[in-house]
Amino acid sequence: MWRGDFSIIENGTSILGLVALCFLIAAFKLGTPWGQAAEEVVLPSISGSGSPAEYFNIAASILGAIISPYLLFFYSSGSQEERWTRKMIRSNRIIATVGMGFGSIAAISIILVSAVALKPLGVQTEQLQTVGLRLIEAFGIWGVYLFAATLFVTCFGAATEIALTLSYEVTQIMGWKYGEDRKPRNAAIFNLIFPLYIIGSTLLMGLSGIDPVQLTVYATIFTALILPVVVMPFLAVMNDPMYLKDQTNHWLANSAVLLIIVLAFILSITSIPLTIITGG
Amino acid sequence: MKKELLLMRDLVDKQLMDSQGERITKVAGVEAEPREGARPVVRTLLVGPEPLARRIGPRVGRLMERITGGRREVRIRWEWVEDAGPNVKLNVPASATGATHAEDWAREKIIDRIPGSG
Repeated sequence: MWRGDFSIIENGTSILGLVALCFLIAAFKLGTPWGQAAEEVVLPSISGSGSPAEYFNIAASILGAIISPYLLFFYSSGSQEERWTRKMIRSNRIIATVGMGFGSIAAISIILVSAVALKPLGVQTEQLQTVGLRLIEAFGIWGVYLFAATLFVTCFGAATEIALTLSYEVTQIMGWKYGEDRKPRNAAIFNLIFPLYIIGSTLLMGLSGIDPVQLTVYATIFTALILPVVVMPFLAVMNDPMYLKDQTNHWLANSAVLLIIVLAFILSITSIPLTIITGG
Repeated sequence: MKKELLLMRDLVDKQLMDSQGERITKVAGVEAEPREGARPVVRTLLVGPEPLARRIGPRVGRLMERITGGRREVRIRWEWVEDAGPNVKLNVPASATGATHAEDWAREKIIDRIPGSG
């Protein structure tokens, strides 16, 4: 990360990330009952062994994971790094839509594949490893490799992005120099924060022995909870003509953002006490 | 610079840029000189942990001054300010302001000692 520039990190991980599409292919190969699945999306029913708290949890954590605040910081920092101009607004809308769409399709596929492959077996997904079982069912031994690759690339991509985001946030808040394209000594604090963060968090995870998946689930629910606090300043800037001149938000976009953060907040604030009562 | 500036909207907490367009740090406060029979006039912008801490409260400010020995507080002369809003642009390079302490420290004490950082 010291050597590479911004676009290497961005393009490299996103191309490799396409491997996650194997879950979509698996969803087709396993013969997902699409009609039934669509019906469940529109009219979700709580059935089986899960308590309502667990379903609320999942919904809150999916929302928290999709609209992670770090993405907003990373994306806007990226636009600064690559010196976007007014001309790029249109193509950027397409990129954002396709990108978020791709992520959502991959996530939906994983859920579908889980449901189709595991429900008959009566297996509950509690660990990341069990997700891999379904790919084996769809692809045979190649499923193992695909699963390992997906896991590695997506985790690697997220880890680099989060580490860089932390560097961006600290330097931008303090007003210091930043830039992934600069030599480390030309943006010293920026290039100091992310290695320290990577080393620190690795040590913390290794020494404390926390279950990473459990931690992620709690973190995403917590993210959904604090989403309003983090997104409101963004919303303020998006409506501030001093920064955006004539490109301020349309009322439709404003309402959509408000609706999603309110939804995420309600889901997480109800799911946290429920989780504690039911004991996770 | 002939335009109306509001201290809190256009100066305090705004990004300080040097004459090369490099980020220096953010403005922590302003210092104004009271005048007899006229409005006070802003002479300097303040930068550093001490003025930041003083905004939380006088006790926190004194504590920070004890920690740093008051050495990290830097005054940016108003004559250096070229333009303001949303960023505060100076007409001098960052090195002339003395406000790059944190960045210099990280570069000299740590980054330069790691091989391959050039």
